[in-house]
Amino acid sequence: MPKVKNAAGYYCRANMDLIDLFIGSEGTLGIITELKLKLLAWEEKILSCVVFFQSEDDAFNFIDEARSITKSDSSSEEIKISARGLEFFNKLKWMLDLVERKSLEYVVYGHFGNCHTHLNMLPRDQADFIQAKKIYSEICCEAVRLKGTVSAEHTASEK
Amino acid sequence: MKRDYLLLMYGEEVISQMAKLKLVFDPNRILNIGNIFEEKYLQ
Repeated sequence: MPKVKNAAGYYCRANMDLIDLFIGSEGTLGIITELKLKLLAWEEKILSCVVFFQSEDDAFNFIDEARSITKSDSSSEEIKISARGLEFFNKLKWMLDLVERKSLEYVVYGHFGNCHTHLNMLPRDQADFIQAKKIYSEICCEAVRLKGTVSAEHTASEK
Repeated sequence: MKRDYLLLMYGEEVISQMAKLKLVFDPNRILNIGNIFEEKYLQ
């Protein structure tokens, strides 16, 4: 399993909780007939904002710094986000270049903190659609080559 | 279909293991056949 945020296929890890197998199993393992929910206390200190940066470097440096001072982030990541972020940004440019070369319309956004993009190609006709599918396939191959995932969010069953 | 990409990502071996796991929970093959992997893995 990739070590990144992942929602592709059944979840599998040593000593895992059974519930994690069911989450994302797309209804292939069973039907939930009863649920007991445990509520978490409301977090009072949440700051939500939109920040615009002059350059990508500034954005990645911000993420780096925010991570290093966030006490709740207990993950012992050895790779600095800035190095990974740079690689991510290069990949992002590579992706957009693929799309722009075919003159496809698109919107792109994502979660820089965990190197996760949402690239929405907007086909105008069937030819665009076929082109977009090819690009999508190329991007997925590259993600797999880099030991990433083809689906980081939602599930993979959308047809 | 995105399941083709799951095959690309995990390879036949892992996808077959996932299919075997599904059969443990769903031996009658009645739950969402075709999701995650193709039906042929459920033989």
